[in-house]
Amino acid sequence: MHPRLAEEWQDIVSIYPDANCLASPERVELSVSLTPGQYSLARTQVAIIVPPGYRATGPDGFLVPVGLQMTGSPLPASDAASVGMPGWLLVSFHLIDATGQSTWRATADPKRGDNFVGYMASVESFLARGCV
Amino acid sequence: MELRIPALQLAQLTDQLLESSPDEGAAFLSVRPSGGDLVLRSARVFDRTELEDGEYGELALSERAQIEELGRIKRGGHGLIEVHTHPLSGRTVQFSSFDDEQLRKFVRYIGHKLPGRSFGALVLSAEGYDGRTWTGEAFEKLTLRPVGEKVLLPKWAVPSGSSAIHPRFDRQVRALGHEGQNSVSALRVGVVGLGGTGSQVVQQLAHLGVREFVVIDPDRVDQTNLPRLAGATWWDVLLHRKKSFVARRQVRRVRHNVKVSVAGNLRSEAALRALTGVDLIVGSVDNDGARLILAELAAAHFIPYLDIGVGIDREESQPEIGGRVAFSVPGGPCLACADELDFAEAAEDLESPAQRTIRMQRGYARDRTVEPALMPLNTVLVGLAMVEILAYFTGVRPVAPFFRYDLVLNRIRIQNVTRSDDCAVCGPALGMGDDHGIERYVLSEA
Repeated sequence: MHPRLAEEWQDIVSIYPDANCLASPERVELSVSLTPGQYSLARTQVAIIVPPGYRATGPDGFLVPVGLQMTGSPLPASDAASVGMPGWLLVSFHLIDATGQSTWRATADPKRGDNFVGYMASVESFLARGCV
Repeated sequence: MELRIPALQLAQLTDQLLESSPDEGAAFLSVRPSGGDLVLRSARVFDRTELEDGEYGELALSERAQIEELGRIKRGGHGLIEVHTHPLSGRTVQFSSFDDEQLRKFVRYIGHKLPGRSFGALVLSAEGYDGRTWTGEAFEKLTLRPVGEKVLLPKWAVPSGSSAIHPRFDRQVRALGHEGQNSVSALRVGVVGLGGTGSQVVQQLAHLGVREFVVIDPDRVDQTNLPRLAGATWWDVLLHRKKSFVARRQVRRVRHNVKVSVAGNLRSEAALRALTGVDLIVGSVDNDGARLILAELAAAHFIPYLDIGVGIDREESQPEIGGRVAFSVPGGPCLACADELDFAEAAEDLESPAQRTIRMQRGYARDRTVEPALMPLNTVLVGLAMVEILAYFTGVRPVAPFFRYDLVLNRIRIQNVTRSDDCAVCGPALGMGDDHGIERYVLSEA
């Protein structure tokens, strides 16, 4: 497991008990609830690819299984087979500000800066907003 | 076996331990393996309230302090070097017969508390040390190797006397002294990036007399490189030669018997492994992804890492032309502490081509523009960097680790940079050695 992720793992599983760390590409898979009526499912698997430079470099985007659909508009996603995740979609989600600058701020101590749990909170919030 | 420790940290450790002189001092060092040796992760000096009088009048660590600190070391996954002082021993400091007896008991205790981890012992005085490490069956010698600029090294760490120096270095010896030339001639240097700046780095280091090179760059020479690539020729373009070939040829033309190892891509196991064995890394790369990898590797293994950056921006109303030298010395601030790493750029540099394609399709990827470049500008920055390397290894003056050169104003601005305790790069990496996991950057196709 990526050493920075290992430092945070206890915190991650305390909030996402079904979280699982897998390899090739290294990623964390877990499940989250979705707002009723907003999506084709009430709950979905989510995968976050862990970049090799984590935590200095933050994750980008998240993956959901092919088949998840948003009610009323298409999911802003691309087929993820080319990144080694066939059967998944890579959702366009980026932690950037109005000027396009990254807002990810990492520190040596994961509790003081941006971290995986914080990133997942942003992902869940993005899904709840209908991916806008 | 060697224990690498930043010179500044060793000086602080020794000062703290000898503060209570003539009473003995004690500390536990947390250590990690690094290519067959050890690196220091952290030091815990015990204060007088944590020491108590032992059965035979010696000073012993209180049980509570010992248990607490061993617990912390165990949770951190570290090994242990226990340290105590013989303040009055001078240069001939060595373990006493009482120390020997206690060590034999302690090693059995540590074998239960920290199974499978490194264990050793040091005894220090103001003028020297003695060290041992446990192999599992016996104690063998542990050598303390302070790493840092020469002016900070303790006297006993500076090699005395001089080896014979080749007459070709006559003029250089008159500038650097015998000791200085010997220090340079003993160096193994990793040069990452062999373009406009990297080719000149190799050229200058070869002339200075560096012993051994590891050169890393997967690119081949093309015609647009010829105005800047030191040593490159028009037939290298025709023959589609690699830049590493040109670098090796350059070195061998100056001194035919210098070892030059070539590792094509930084993100290969061979390259990363080779870099952990050098005395200095010089980065002449054009992307922050590579800089992030080098910064982590250097911090983990206590290898000094000097990065050269050059930039020409003519689009502003005031053109900006210049560069910077960023010299990360062991235990000192890294490129991230100096705000010389753009993590968003590094993330893009390190992502897979497939990820980049998807982000470009979605309009979220930067354009990779071709940057302007000029050989004289590269030469100035490389020359300035070489002077800092000489300062570091010969002690001719203290190192100026971070500075910027402005070609338009024709001036150098020294930057005052301190190490950030919360740095996301050197904080987690510092002194982690082989356990830092730098191999996670390896690309299977590299």
